[in-house]
Amino acid sequence: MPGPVYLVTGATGLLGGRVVRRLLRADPAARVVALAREPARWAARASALGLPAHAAAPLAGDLTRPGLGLDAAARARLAREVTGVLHLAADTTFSRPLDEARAVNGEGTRRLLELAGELPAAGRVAFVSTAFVAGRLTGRVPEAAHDGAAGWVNAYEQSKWEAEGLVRAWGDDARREWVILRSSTVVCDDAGGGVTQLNAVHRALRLYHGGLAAMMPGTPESALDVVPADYVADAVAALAFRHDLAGQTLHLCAGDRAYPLDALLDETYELWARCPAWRRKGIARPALTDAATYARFEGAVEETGDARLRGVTRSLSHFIPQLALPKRFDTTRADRALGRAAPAPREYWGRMIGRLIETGWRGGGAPSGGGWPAAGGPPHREGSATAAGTDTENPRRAPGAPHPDLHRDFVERMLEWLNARFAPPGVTITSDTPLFRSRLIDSIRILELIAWTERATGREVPDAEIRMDNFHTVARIADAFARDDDDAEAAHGDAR
Amino acid sequence: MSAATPCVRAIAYALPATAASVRDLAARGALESAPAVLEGFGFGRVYVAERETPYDLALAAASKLLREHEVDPGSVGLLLYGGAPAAVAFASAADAPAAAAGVCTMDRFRYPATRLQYDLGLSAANTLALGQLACTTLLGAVRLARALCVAEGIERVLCVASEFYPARAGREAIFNCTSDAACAVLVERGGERNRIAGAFTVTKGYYWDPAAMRDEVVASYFPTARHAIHRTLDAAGWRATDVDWVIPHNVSVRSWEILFRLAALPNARLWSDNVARLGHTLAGDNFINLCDALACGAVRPGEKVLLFSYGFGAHWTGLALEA
Repeated sequence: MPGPVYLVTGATGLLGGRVVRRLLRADPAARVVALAREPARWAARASALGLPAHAAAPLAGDLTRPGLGLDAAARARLAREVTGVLHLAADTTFSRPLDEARAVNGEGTRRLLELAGELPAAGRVAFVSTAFVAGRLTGRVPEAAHDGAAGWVNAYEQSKWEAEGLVRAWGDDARREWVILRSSTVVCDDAGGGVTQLNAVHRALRLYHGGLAAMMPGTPESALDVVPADYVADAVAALAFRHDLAGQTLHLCAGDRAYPLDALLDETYELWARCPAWRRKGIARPALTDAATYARFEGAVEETGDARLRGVTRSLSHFIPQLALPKRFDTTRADRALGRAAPAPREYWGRMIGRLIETGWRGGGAPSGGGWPAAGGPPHREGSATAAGTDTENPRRAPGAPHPDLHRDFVERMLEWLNARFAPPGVTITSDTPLFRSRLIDSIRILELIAWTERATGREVPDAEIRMDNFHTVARIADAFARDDDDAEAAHGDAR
Repeated sequence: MSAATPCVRAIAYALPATAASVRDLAARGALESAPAVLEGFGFGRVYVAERETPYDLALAAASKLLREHEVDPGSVGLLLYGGAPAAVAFASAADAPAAAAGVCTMDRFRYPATRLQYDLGLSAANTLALGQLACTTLLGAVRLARALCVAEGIERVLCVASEFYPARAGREAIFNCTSDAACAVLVERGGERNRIAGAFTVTKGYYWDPAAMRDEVVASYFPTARHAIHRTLDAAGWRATDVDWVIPHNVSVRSWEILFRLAALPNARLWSDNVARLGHTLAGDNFINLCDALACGAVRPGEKVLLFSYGFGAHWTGLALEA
C-alpha cells in the first residue's frame, strides 16, 4: 500500500524544512510535494536536510497567483496523489499593510483551500497559524475560535485570524477535515539557543541592547510567550494528520510557562552586563510601563517628525504593544495530544541571548564552541544545538547582503555626523570621499568612527574587521557593516 | 530633620529684556524643529539676551535676592557660581565668539564668581565655581551647598547660575526651546521653609557627547529619570504617595506627561506653568519655577516638593524639599 503524500506549503522556511524532515522520518513510506515559488531553493534546502529527492519533490507554485500558478496537469497529478495538505506558508512580516498581508495569508490560503477541494483523497487540511490571532485579547486564551472583536496589534495577526476563518468555513462547506495549529513566536532553533532566523523579537532586543529604546510596555502580569523551532516542528509533524484532532485548534505555546516580563528583563540585562564594555555604558533597563504611557511616548516621537527616533519606535510598534496585553495561551489540548509541554523559555532564553551577542546579532544556528559567555554564563544543558543535529538542520546563513534602505539610511546618517564633526570649513564629505587619504580620519578619529558605526548598527565591529579597506570611504563602511540580517523573514509565501 | 537642616531660604531670578516667540526664532533660523512641533510641546516664548551679559544677569538675580529677602551680604559664607564659562561671562551675545578668544590671554583669569563677591559685598564669602553640569548646575550647587553647610558649618551659601546662548547659537536643544536667564538661591542652615530632605544625582559619562549620541540620550532619559526620582525619594525617606508637587525643568510638556506617568507619583501635581512663558532656562528652571509656585501660593507650607532636572553630559538630578 502506498504511503501518504502531503502537499506542503512553506517548506523552504524556517519551520517548513524541519517539519518535512520529521514527517518523512516518522513514515518512511511518506512523500512530500513541496509547493515553492523557487523549486531550486527547495531542492537546495532538501539536500541540506539530507532528504531523498524522490521523497521530497518540489512543485513550482505561488500562493499569490490565480490557481497557485499550477497548470491543469499539475493539478491533475496532485488530485491523484495527495492525501493531506499542510499549509505552513505565511508572510510573517508584522509591519505589512493589511492588504499586503492578506495577499499571502488570506488569498493564498483561499487559493490553497480551493485546490484542496479538488483533491479527492486529501482527507485533511492542516493549517499552521499563530497564537497571536488572539490580537488584543487579554487573559486566558482558549484553543478555539474567537470573534476578533478585541482587534489586533498588527496586520499579520489579523490576516492569520481571517485565514483561520477561511479554513473552518471551508471544512464546514466541503465537509472535509481540518486542524489548526497555532504557534507562538519562534525565537530560536532549539533549547541550545541558536538563532537561524532573526525576527521582531530579536530586532527589539538589539535596540534595547544598543540603548536606543526608552521603555517597554508591560504590566506585572505580562509574560513573553515564545517557543523554539524544534518544538513547533515536532508538534506540527506529530499533530497535523492525527485523525483524533479533526476540527480542533491547538496552541503550540509556552502557555503557563511563558516568561514573566520582569524576570525576563532581569536575566537579559544581567547577561548583557557580564560584558564589561557594555556594563560601563550604564545603559538603563527600560522602564516597564502601561500601554497608555507607551502610546504617549510613541505619539511624542511621531510629533517630533524626527526620522531616526521614529525609526526606532515604528520598528517596535508592530510587536511590542502585545506585551501590555497580558494573556496566557491555554495549551491543555496540545499538551495532552503531544504528551508534553513546550519547553519553558527561561530554560533557554539565556543561551539565546548569549548566541545573539556571540554572533553580533547576525544569528546563526550552530554555536561556535563556547565563545559565550566569557565568564560564568548559563550552562549549555540538554538539547544543545550540536546534539540535536542542527549542523544539518540549520545551515549557517551567510552574512546578510546590504539592504538598500538600511544602507542608504546608514550612509546619510554617517555623512551628517562626519560633516558636522570632522569636515573643515568649505569641505563636504561625500560617500566616496577617501577618509584617510584626505586626512579627515586619523588613527585617533578612527576609534570614534568605529564607535559610531557600532552604535548605528547595534553590533560590535569585530577586531578582524577593523581594516583600512573597510573604512576607506563611507560607502565602503556601509557595505561592510550596514547589513540587514532579516532578509529571510519576509518570504511572500514560501517561508515560515 | 534637625533644626540645623539646610533649607532653601530665598530664590530670585533675572531675565533679559527681550523676548521672542517660537515663530520669531524659527524665522531667524534659530530652531531645528518646525515651530509647530515646539508649540505642540508647550513652548511659547523665550527670553533672549541681546545686550545683557551673563554677568549682568547673575548680578541682577543675586542683588535682587539679597535686597528682597533682606539678606546681609556679610553673612554669606560661600558663593557658588555656575553657568557661562569665565571667558564669555562678561560678553554680550554678539561679542561672545570674540570674548572666547580671551582664554589665550590673561583674560582667562577674569572670573565672574570673584567679581560677584566684590560687587555684591560678600566680604566673608569664599567662592567656588561649578561647570559641566549643564541644566543641573543649580541643583548641583544646592547639593554642594547643603553638604558644606553640614560638613563645614557654613551658615549661608549663595548659589548663582547664569546661562546664555551666543548670538549665532541655535535656541533648540533636542526639541526644547531655550531662554537666557540667571537664578540665585540662598541655602541656609536651619529655617522652617523649604528644608532639603534629600538629593540624588546619577552621572553617565557614556552620553558625554549629546550631539553624536542624540538617539541614545533620548532613549536613556526616561528610565534613568525615573530611577533618579525614586532614589531621591529614598534619600528623603519619602514614599511615592508623599509627593505633593513636582517642580520640573522646563522641557517639553509632552516628555513630562510621560515621565510623570512613569514615575508613578499618585498624589503629585506638576507645576508646568512656566514652560510656555519662559521656555527652558539652562540656569535653573527648577528654582525659577519654585520661586513662582511659592509666590502664587500654589505650593503651600509643609507640602513635599520634588525637583528634577536632566543636564547634558549626562546628569540626572533630583532634590526633595519640604515647603
